[in-house]
This record gives sequence, structure tokens and C-alpha cells, in this order.
Amino acid sequence: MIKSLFLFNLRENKILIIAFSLIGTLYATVSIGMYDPSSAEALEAMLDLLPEAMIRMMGFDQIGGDITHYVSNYLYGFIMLLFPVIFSIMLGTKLVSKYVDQGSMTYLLTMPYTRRKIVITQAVFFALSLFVIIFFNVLVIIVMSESMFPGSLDIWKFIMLNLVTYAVHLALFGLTFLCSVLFSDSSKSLGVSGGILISFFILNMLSSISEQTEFLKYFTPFTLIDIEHILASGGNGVLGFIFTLITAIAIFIVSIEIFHRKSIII
Amino acid sequence: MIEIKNLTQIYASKKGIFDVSFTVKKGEVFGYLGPNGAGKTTTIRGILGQMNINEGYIRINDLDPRVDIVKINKLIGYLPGEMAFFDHYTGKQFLDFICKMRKLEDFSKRENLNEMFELDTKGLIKKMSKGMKQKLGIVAAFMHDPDILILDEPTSGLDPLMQNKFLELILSEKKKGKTILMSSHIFEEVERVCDRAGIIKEGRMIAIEDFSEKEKKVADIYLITLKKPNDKLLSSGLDVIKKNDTVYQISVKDNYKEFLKTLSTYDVIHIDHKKQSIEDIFMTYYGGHQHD
Repeated sequence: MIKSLFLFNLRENKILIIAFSLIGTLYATVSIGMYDPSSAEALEAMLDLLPEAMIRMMGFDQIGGDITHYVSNYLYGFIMLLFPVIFSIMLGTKLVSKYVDQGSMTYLLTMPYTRRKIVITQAVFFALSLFVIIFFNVLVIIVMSESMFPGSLDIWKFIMLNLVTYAVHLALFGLTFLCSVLFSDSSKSLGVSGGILISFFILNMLSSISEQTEFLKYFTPFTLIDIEHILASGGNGVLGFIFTLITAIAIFIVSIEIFHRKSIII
Repeated sequence: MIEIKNLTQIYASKKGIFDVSFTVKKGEVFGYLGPNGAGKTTTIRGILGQMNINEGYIRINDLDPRVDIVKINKLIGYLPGEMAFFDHYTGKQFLDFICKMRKLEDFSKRENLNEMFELDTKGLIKKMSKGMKQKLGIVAAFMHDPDILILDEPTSGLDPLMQNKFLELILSEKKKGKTILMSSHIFEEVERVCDRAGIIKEGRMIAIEDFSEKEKKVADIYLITLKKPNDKLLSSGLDVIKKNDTVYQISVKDNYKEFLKTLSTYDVIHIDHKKQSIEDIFMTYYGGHQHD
């Protein structure tokens, strides 16, 4: 970790981080504001107006019930999958590939640090900014539901859900980072990593449409964010979390080593 | 000391550098001359340890840049060919960032250089002219007082006054015993400050010239315009070529006395010093032979 490079990244990307945190918290605020335990039926009636396949695609089919189920399904079936993915693609491309493309990486690499140190700083910076975005979202949801409906949110299960979500996004970011390290052309990096991540996202949506498409869930890591399973068993999410986290770290280590060994030619 | 032996790096486009060898001794200023695209920047990338070279050997103070890059980077000051980044930093913020990255605490050299190049560091880099960015890059490369300087076309974008100041800076750094490698496509500036120069063309080193040798090899070329055509000039004993009706080209080496004496008897209305391209210089050096 290089402190001055970390601060440099922060300066360069603070608007992106703040924007994504705000969008997330805004969405969370609205969704909790809309929750009314007595009118769950009214909500279901409203959802009945929409085509069933669309509701499932958005992950709204389990939206009834207590606030934990409501918030989890409302946000973690769609919004909290899509926003961090877009964030990953944007930031991941920027942190390595764009700097190589622009020539600033050549310059940074003439500073007295190993390449590993420089690229680890970039990876840690991303992992932390993703954490900040999800953390703000969790904080807003917990504070709001505790003040509006004290004691009704199952905080530990909800946090568990977020840990798994974070780990999955971290692994997906690892893929963006890998592309960023592999391609010295930033538009290529953006295209390939965007293609992979958006495909995962679309596969996840398609897999929930009907029984015929359900098998698609084996081809997307978003399946690991199994809301019902995590909310039902709570602690059982730990295993998935650890497994995903290890995968993410492995992808990062591979990326760091590739960057250490590659020729920086532009 | 920079040592390069049989360096070969071929890109997918089949371009690159082939079997390049040269040494820059401690305290020496070495010019690296060649037209754009000849392979100068590729060689510099190799010295900076940024590419895995196909073949050959690069050492800086006996260290391999691909292995001991941290030690080497502490010794090196690097000026890139183009400063196309850190756009929304001001000049000062950029220099502050580089100082922090280098853990530099003595700002005296930075301030001297700012003053010397009349650099205004308040503005955003994005809005700076090419020359201003170049000056900023020069300050960033020299401010930590490195032992070795790797400068990629350092005078490009600078106005003649600043070019002069820069060349003076090179001479004063050389006096302090700094090892300097500077690439360029301008022969005059290399001849003025460098002890030796390698000339690279299409990826191959075609000559290494020693400028400390007494005899001046490259002639100065003047275009003389006379009021009326007078072909008597052609038989004056000087090296004269008739360009058109009233314009004559004269090559002068160390025979300025004769040159001035002869001209004083003619009705000269204009004298122009012709800047020579590297190709012209090859012709003068090698009498038009093709060198591979």
C-alpha cells in the first residue's frame, strides 16, 4: 500500500464513489419509506398488475412478509446487483488500464516502488470503495427501519446478506481488475469486463423467469446471493461468504502477478 | 552508468529495435538521435524496466531494471516524451504528489527550477500549453536531484529561450557528474551538450559519434541570396551549390574566415542558416552511402 497513491485515487474518484453511495442510499430510503406492514396486501395487489415474469426478474416475487424480506428482496434482487456492477466496470477500468493507456502508469512506475505495491494499492482502493458504498446503504437501511419500525429488522441476517453480496461483487470486480491488468487498451478492458459482468447479470434475471430457464442460475455468481436461503438460515451464509471471498482474493492475486510480469507497451 | 547490449525488442507490427548496444558512462551526456518512430522511446522503456525484452541485456549501475527497479528508480529522474496525464491537477498539486511519492522533503531544487523556467504552477495541467507541461515535466524529473537522468525529447515544445535554459541546465548537471541520456531528433542541441550520441534509424543503431573529437564533421549550411545572379561564386573555392537564379547554398566547416571574406565581395541581400534534418547529417557524415 502506498499512502500517497491511495489519496491520489481518492481524489480522482471521489465523485464516482459519492454518486454511487448516494444513489444507493436514496433507493434504500425510498424503499423503506414505502414499506407499510399493514398494507403488504395492497403492495401485492399492485404487483399483481405487472406481468409475473417481470416481477420475478426484478426479484419482487418474495416481496411480501416482514421488513427484512421486504428490503432484502426489494433491493438485493436487482438494484444492489446492478449498481455495484456498473461501479466495478467504471472504476476497475480506470484504476489500471486507463492509466496504462494514458501513459500515467509509465510515469507512476518510475517512482521508487515495486509494481506489486502499486497494483496492490489500486486493488485495496477498490475493495474499500466498494465496501463504503455497501456500508452506507446498510447503515441507512438499519437506521431507518430501526427508527420507523423498531426491532422488526433482523439485523444480523441482513448484515450476513450484505457480506455475501459484498464478497460476490468483490469477486466480480476481480474479473474487471483482471481485464484491466490484461488489456493496455482501456476501451478493450471496458468492453470485455463490461460484457462478462452484464452477461452474468442478465443470466441471473433470465434464470428467475421460469422453470425452463432456471438452469441458467448455474452460470452466474449472482446465484450465490440466495436471499431466501440466507434469511432462512442466517449463519449458513458464512460458508458461501468465505468461499466467495477466497475466490475474490485468488483472482486479485493472479491479477497482481500478471501486472508484475507484463510488458507495459502502449 | 547505463549499459545496453544487443537489445532486441520486436513488436507485433514487426517494428521495434534490433541489436542495439551502447553505454552511457558516469558523468557523461549521451544523445540518442533518430527520427520519430526510430525506436528511441522503446529503448527508454527498456531502461525503465517496463518491458520484458526479447533479447539482450540492460544494466543501470550494474542493476537489472526488471529486478531492482526500486533501487534504480531512486537514482533516476525521468521525463516522458509527452505529459498527457494528471489533467485535473494543478502544476503545484502534481509536483506535490510526486514529492510525496518520492518522499522528498528538500524543496530547494524544485523552487530553483520553477524560477529558472519561469513556471507558473497555479493553473490546471489540462489548460497548460505543451511548453508549459514540458517545463513541469522537467521540474518533476530534476527536483529530487537524481544521479541518472532519462529524458525523452526534452526540448520539444519549448521556445528557443527555454531550450537554451534547458541546455544550460544539462551542462550544469553534467558538471556535477550526473549521467544523462537524452533522446532528440534535433542534431544541433545534441551536438551542443552531448559528449557522444548514438544515431538510430528504423530500430538499428547506425553510428555512435564522439563530439569531443576536435574536428568538426558536420558543416553548417547557409543559403545566400544575391541581388543579381553571379555564378563567379561557384568557382570561389568554397563548397557552393547553385539552388536557383540568385540563391546559392554554401557549406562551411571551419573556414568561416574565407567564407566571410568571399561573401564581402558579393552583393548579398539575405543569409539563411539551414537547419539540417538527421537524414542530411547522415549524408554529410557518410557521403550518401547506405548504412544498414
